[in-house]
Amino acid sequence: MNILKTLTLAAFSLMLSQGVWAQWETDASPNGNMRFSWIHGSLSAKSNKDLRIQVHRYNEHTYILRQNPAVHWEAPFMYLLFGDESAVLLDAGATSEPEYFPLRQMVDSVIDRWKTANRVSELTLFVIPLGQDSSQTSALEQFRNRKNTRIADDADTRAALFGSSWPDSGTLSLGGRHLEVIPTPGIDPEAISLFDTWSKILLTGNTFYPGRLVIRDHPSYLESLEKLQRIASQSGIASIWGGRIEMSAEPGLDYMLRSNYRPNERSLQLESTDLKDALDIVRLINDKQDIQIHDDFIVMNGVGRGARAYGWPVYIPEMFRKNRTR
Amino acid sequence: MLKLKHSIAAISVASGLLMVDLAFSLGPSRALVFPESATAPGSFPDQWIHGSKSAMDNEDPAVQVHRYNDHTYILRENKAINYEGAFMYVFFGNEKALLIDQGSTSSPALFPLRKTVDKIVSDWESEFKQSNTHLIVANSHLHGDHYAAWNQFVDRPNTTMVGLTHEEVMNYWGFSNYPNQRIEFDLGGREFVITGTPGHESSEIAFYDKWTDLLYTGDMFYRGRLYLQDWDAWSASIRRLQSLANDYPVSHFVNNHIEMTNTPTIDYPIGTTWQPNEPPMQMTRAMLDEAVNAASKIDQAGIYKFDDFLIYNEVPWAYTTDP
Repeated sequence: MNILKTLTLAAFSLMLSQGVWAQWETDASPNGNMRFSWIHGSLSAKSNKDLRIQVHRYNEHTYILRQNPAVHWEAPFMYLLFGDESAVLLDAGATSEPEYFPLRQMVDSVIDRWKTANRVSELTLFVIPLGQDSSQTSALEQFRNRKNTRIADDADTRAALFGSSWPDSGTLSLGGRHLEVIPTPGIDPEAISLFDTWSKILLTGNTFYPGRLVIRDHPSYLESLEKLQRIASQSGIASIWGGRIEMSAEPGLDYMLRSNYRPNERSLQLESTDLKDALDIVRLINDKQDIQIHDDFIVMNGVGRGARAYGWPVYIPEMFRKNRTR
Repeated sequence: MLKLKHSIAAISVASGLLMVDLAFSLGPSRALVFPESATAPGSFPDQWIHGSKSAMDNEDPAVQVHRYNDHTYILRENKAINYEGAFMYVFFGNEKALLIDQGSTSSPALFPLRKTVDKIVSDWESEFKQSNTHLIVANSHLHGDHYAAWNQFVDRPNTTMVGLTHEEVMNYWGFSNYPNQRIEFDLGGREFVITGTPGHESSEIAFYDKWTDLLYTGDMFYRGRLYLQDWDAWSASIRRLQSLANDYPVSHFVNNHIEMTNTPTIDYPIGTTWQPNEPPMQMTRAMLDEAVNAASKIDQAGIYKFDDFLIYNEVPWAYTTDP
């Protein structure tokens, strides 16, 4: 009996001394708080005084970062997730210059605080853009020389990190916290999404977010949404977090392209019902040239920003013509 | 004591009037002349202020003030405040000044246009020994990116607000046959010709200054995306501008925006707050002729490209040529 006690104590103190202890197996998703407004730029960006990067601690091991729209109108979201052995930074912002957008410095300080709080001394950082858009990769260079850091931004580095069944499907372990990696092309041929099996949060980057979903490759996009839907029905999804917000809180109404003042933004998080709706809409579009406006996102196929290489003159189909100037 | 104050005030008013009288009695020697026989020269900056890669880090002035010549100012709103980067114009004549357009931002704290214009007027008055200049606040056309700071002038003394409705604009300039009519307008000895140029917007007017020979074409014709609300009206208006340019010598075609890059046919993406390689704002007769040619050819909705402008004919918002 005494021996058992001693052993238990020893194991317990070992766990404590190693920092984070087994908490990744909980059945219930860890709670977090999102009841606030993100920084959203100002009427005159020149007079903006907000932080360049907003950091929100969703829960103890999950951080959401947002780039200030007054630095870059894309105002992308970045995610920093911690596990026992590693952390992962998903996406790297829309601006490369550290003086405008000190992502590396901010990530380093969050990591330092987390390491102190969790008594962890060694932590590998994975930096993984969820796509190749410049709003996801611009500050990657700030991490090139960082110690203990692996950047997965091309086919080789992704293959080395996501396990043997990549590129069909992949896994990423942060130590105790496991993420499923899903290739989700359609809007961006290099897009991936991640599912955090601990928090049940689906991180979809620019593949699915409250904004203008401009499909470039309809069959692939449909397949990608089906994959995400399968995860939703098999594992259950607590929340879906994308790479940016383009919708306003007004249902179906989006902010203009490159708007850097969005005082009434829709919330970031989408739900599994939204995913189901998107799948229905994308099936309905069936690769026709079309725009479908949903309360929480807009799906465009064959029209809209960069949907296809335009010839000159750019021909406007009858159904999309209307008298409208700025 | 009170009485004393009053009498002092009365004396100072009287002496003020006397000085005004004196100024008037000096009359002709002080009056500015704006001969139409030759083109009054002027200059443009090599580069306008053009925003910043990170807008919150922009350190340029809110309003750029460029003195084209002694009696002509061109103003530009900082693109880091509003991406439209709209140009505004101040023309001076004897005892009168004409402000055309008021930018894209209403707040005087963010965009102090009134303060800027007041300073231009008072500096100009002291430089040219003028006083009591009456300001006319007018607009090239009635779109929000060109009248946002109109409100800053409503309580300005000695100021005429032309107004922001079609009727007020027509009444003030005296149009009885808009848009075909040509109106002669006298800005204190400086002669302008004004004509109607609808198509982009239905109350738009163009200004020709006989002294500098500048033809100001507003949003109707500029180095950028020409958004056309009414194709027939626009193609008639561009011909009307051409015939005006046939009848009068034109030094430069000046206007409201720069949206092209200095690579022919390529525009900056809409909404950008940073345009590091802008071409000049002023345009040439050859460019106008190209637009007139386009007007006779285009018969479909669509986006048409030319070296120095793009024509967006009845194009919905979802269509941009963005990469």
